[in-house]
Amino acid sequence: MHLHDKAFYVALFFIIGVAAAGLGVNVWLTLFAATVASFVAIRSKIFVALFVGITFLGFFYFNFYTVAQNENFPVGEKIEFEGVVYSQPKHGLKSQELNVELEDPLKGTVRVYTEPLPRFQYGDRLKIAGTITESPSGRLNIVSFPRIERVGVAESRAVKKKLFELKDSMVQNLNSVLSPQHASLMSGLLFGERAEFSDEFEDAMQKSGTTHIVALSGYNVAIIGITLSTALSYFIKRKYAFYASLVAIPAFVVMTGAEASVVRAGIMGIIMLLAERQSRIYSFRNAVTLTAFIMLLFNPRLLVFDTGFQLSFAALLGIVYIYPLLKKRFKIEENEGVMGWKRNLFQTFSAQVAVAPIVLTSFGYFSPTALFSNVLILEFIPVTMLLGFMTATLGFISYGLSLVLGWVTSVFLGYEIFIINLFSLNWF
Amino acid sequence: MKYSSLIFLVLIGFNIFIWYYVVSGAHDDLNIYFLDVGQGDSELVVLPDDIKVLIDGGPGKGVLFELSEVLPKTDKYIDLIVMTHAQLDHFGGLYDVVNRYKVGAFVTTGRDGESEAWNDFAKLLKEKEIPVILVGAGDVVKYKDSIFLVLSPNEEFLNNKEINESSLILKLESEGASALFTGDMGFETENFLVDSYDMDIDILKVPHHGSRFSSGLKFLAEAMPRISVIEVGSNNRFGHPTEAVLSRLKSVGSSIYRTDKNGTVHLEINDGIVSILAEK
Repeated sequence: MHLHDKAFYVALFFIIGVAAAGLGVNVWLTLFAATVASFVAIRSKIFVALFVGITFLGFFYFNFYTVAQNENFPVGEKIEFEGVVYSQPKHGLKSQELNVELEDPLKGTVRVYTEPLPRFQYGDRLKIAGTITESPSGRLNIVSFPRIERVGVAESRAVKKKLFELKDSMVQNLNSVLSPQHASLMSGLLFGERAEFSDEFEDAMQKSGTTHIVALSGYNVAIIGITLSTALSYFIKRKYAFYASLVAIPAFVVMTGAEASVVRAGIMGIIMLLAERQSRIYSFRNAVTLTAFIMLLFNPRLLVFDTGFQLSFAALLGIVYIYPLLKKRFKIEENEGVMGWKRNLFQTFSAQVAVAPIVLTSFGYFSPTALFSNVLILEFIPVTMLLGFMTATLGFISYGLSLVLGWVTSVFLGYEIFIINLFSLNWF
Repeated sequence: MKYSSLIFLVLIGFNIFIWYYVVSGAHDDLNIYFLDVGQGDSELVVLPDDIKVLIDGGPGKGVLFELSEVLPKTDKYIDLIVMTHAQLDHFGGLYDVVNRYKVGAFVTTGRDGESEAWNDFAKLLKEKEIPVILVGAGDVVKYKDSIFLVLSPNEEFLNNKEINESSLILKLESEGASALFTGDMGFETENFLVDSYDMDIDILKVPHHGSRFSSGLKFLAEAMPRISVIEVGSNNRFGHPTEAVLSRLKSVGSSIYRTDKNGTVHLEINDGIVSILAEK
């Protein structure tokens, strides 16, 4: 067996172990299934033993992680506690949303809702007096409109803070030249910022099956990566452009809040870059398993409990494994220029088919118009993102130029918003 | 060649941008918008020649969406922002307005708020280097034939222990009509106005979202507003507007509009003739 096959199976069986533990499957049953599976795949006793061992490791790791992460705080009692804002606050239309990591003697994380002002920032250390209540959706526990006092700023988070500031000033540049509706969609496309979406618009995106365009999927990361490396290769040598991309991709991932789907796209992007540079063959199968493996090492709960993680991988698998079949069957040419709508149609369809089971079980909802809305929108997303990125960057240099370019961007954003609203209507 | 279509597109956009301004020109009537910002106050006055005066900004970001409905999409300039007093339901939204619009000047009374939120906003004003103009009773803001008279607060009201009574009260006279912007004033300020000025007006921003401690009969009988607008959020926890105020307004024969029921209320005024365009 080749080394890359071994690596693949090790990662795969680890993932199986994590999945089984997450789903609460009996450990003996899991090991038995792993034995059968590995025996079917590889008829070698040593490897069967190895892979069963790896499966057990995955199973064990999940439980170990869960115990180590145990939360410790009283629920439903009025208490006073200190904590640090550990992700970027969402400044919504009517309230502010802060994710706070509790400090000793308590342990765990909570979500705090509070008035829009004063604005709290990433890294703020807060003294909070309020009641922690259980989240109805089983996510982070909630503290609603408590009394908050800013007692300081946590150190040692300088790099992250700088990245957030950079993103904030780019969003700010968009805000100062675009209308609020347009600016919020643009920030969604570029940075996954959704704080300013009105409830109606969120709803419209869900009904038209277009939420994924602002959920910063691999699609957005790929567009940004390609744009960035093309732009860089104009200014600097190829070799340096490679290193610059190696820095830029993780920076972007962190800047946008490191959600599972972005991390997934970021890691795969880097693997792709490395493979290209080393002139190695880029094996999709290995890249995707390795990515999942790395992410689960950091947090094994993602696999079963994070819908974003599941959707991201499912959509990717759909596009990579289902789309080629359709492509052959319907004889779609790559690089067909204006007729790219066909590619969009079948890629959307492939992804939709792959994510359908997850969407149905998690949200209990499925968009019947998603195919049409996506075909009409996706073709224009790259150019919109490019224009939006240029508008945001120009804002640092000249307000006037940024304003003019923003106007051109607005034409595309207006069209996209129109399509989203159109396909969210109940047609039947 | 790859970029030629993009450059072409940008140039087309630039052309439309310029011609839009050449063709559209400025309005020569007076427009007053009582913006639907939920439980809070925000009024936009657009004087003839498109001079924009924003009085208060409501509690949150809602005002941005309202402004973008009313103003041309590319218009990112506001001549004057007036803050009646430093309470969150009046200045909260101004935070984002100041962040996203270029602002000519910020007009207020000079009485600081007491909340952490106010400190945040005051800091932002400084950062943005927006000129702050402090005004009091007797001051005047004038543009051509339009005039804003500052009726209150005087020194005494400015330091009143009740911050609502320190509200900046503006009377606008323009296009043959008069409108009174009242912030959150209560009976005390109302009595002062009646005793000190000729209070006959056409349009009233009903004080304090229709609280029963404002809009007294004595004041209303003097002011006799033909149109009253209440800025209020639906199902707010204060029970605004109160039945008492609604019946007092009716008793002086005023037609009542409310942002919770009518959405944004737009008054278009041309030479003393008022057209009322409510959203709902």
